[in-house]
Amino acid sequence: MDKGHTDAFSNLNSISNFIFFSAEIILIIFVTNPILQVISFLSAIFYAFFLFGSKTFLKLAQCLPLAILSAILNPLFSHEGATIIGYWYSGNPITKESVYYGMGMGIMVLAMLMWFIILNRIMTVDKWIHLFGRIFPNIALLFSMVMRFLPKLRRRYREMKLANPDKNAFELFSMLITWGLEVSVDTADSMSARGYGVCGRSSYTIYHFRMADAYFITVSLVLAGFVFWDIFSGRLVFYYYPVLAVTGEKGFMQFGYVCFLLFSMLPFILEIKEVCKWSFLQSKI
Amino acid sequence: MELFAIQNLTFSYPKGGFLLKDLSITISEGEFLLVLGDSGSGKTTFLKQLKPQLTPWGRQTGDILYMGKPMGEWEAKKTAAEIGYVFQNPEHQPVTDKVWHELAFGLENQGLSQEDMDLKIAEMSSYFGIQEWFHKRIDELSGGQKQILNLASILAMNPKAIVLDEPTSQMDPIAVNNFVQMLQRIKEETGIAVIMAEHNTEQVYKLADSVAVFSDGSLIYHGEPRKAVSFLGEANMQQLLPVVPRIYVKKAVKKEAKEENVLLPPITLQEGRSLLRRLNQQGRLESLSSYLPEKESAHYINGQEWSVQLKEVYYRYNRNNKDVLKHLQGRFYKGECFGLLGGNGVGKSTLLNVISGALSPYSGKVKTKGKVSYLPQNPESMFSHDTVIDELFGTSDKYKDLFKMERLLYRHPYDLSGGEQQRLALLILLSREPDVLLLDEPTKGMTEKEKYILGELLQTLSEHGKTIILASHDIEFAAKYTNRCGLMFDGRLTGVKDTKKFFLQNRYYTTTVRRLTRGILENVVLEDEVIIDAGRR
Repeated sequence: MDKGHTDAFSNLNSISNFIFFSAEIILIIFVTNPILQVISFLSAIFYAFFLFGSKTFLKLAQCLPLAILSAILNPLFSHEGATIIGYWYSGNPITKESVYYGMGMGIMVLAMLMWFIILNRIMTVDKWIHLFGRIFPNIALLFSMVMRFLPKLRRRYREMKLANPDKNAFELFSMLITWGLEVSVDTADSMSARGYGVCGRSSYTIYHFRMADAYFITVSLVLAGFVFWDIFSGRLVFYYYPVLAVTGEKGFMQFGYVCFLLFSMLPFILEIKEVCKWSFLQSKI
Repeated sequence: MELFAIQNLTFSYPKGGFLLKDLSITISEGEFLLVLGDSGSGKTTFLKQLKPQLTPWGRQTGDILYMGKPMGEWEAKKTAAEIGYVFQNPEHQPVTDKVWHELAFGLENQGLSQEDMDLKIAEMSSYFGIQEWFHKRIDELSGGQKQILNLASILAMNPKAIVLDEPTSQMDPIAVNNFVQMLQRIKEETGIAVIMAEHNTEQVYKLADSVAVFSDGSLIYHGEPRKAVSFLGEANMQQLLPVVPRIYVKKAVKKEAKEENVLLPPITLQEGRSLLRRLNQQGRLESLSSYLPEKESAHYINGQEWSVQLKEVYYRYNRNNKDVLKHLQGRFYKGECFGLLGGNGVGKSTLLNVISGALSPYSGKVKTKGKVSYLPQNPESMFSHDTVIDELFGTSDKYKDLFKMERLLYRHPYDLSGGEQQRLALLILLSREPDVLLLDEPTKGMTEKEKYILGELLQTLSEHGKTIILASHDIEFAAKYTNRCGLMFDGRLTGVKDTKKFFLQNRYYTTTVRRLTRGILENVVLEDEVIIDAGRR
């Protein structure tokens, strides 16, 4: 099932979406702890199922080759680690640690790709424009104008091709240029007729920053902050070499994992909340 | 209060003749001014004088006052917002890609806050019923919707006047109707002045408070619409009028009106019908039509060989899309001009492209005899040179004289009027020596005069044995110049008949004259078939 854009997470402001994706992806890329990577991967899969339904399998299968490749390449080229479990034909040792490290890398790549697929779905072109339009309003306007022009250009090229079956691509291209110049004059007229450039511009948006965004950003920053803090104070660091080892007290570690799990599941939790709310509302009707 | 006051204005380009000569006119607040004139009469030049951001650079004398002060003394910010301008081609105005963004564009330029813009946009969308397509890409809208959006995004800026340059010339009749209804609401509900140039005055004439007629750069008439009817009749410019008053200006009726002290000529269809009914009771109305409905009307087909044959044609653009053409059957004959009628988006252009072979049906057969050439909706798609004379290089002289292009030879094709561009495109098409001509909306944006020239041309071509298939929503043109007509609907070609029979039989999808005379005068489809006072004088 493809649910369109009615899901709760994509209804949030693009700033909320952006903060979540950046924190999630930065965390899993720079952290070598396999438990965090597995948590991230499973959360991504959960949410992907909500968004894409059974198509998730297809998307997962598309990511798999790259993940397997990175899992295999590590023990091929890295011979660090204390526990030797065999030898390559070349005589180089295969170590248990490098195999595990490769597997960790594979999970990390898989989780990262899944989050990028989700990001691609949630962060539509409009959301990116809204996000960066605040900082670069002129570039956002230019982009919008290009998006207006391209379909017109495509349609015109098709018409020219249909009308002039005996003309080659170069001739059609030169006709298209003449037409494009004419169109840009019209657009410039239309812009100045509506007061473009007479005074400072503001920019309008249909996306609003709501209380829900404030809550979401606060909760994400607090949870992600705990995890970052744990990592920087060396409590969640996982060592592959020379032997597998975890540092830190158990209690602190478990707290870090729980925080990360909650953080990664936030979009999914949001959806569940929404579903509950609606079924509750419906039961009242 | 006077919104615009123009005194003794002349305008010309540095190296050129006068485009406006000694023009004086005032336009009041809330006035609906209809600007009439042939192409090249100075209409557009006049309209652009009212909008400082679009006024071309040139030699200008005289004054243009806006709200009592010379136009140039007002801040650009004020005139940009208060004087709105709607362009002829709905494609030209939109700047951004989304409907909501387009509505906001002018407001953003004024530097308004989000709250202010929010309210204005909400108000405008509700007023015009844009909510349903508020989030759409502009690319997805129909031409009519685009022009309504253009109007709405101008009105959002809270103007005192809107200037429209032939805004409906690219639309089909239903879209024109919607657009004119919007204008009517603006006139009746807002007090915004409307200054509108238009060739197709059928629906808008009754809205006008005053009419300005331009000819060769001069304002030759300015006054009430009903009085304009008599003036245009006497000046032999009745082709600028809609059909109903055009019938009135036939000499005899004018006499009749004077005799009975009926000073007001009819403008609406209802008024026209009651006038005709009265004349009919006095026995002064006659039909020139030689048409006999009993006679089988296939005389164009009898004995002619076919040049295009369609058998159960099915077409769709994409596997997942709906059929655009389904179970389409038809035959088109040598030497006939066939009118393919129907609203926008019913598949007329698709059918032409299937016949030309550019698109192939996924089921069914298309057979053609001889060379087939296609003339697209936008004539610019045919132009590949910088001057008309270069475009015509190698074209046989056989047609050149017919097309009346001599004085245009050194112009750039893009600088020609709509009608001239269509003629040039048709001439380029003929240079490919086609046997079957497929014309897509060739009368778009044409004046009555230009349509007449085109119509005569098409008749000459079909006399030369060409097959012409004309896709059009221009009912009046099809009624005048085609031999057979059919209505495209739901992917099929329905009701194919002799043109005359087609329009007599239809009640709604027929010519204004037929609607005007139904029940009063039988078998009349065209204006010239109504004869008033034939015997007397």
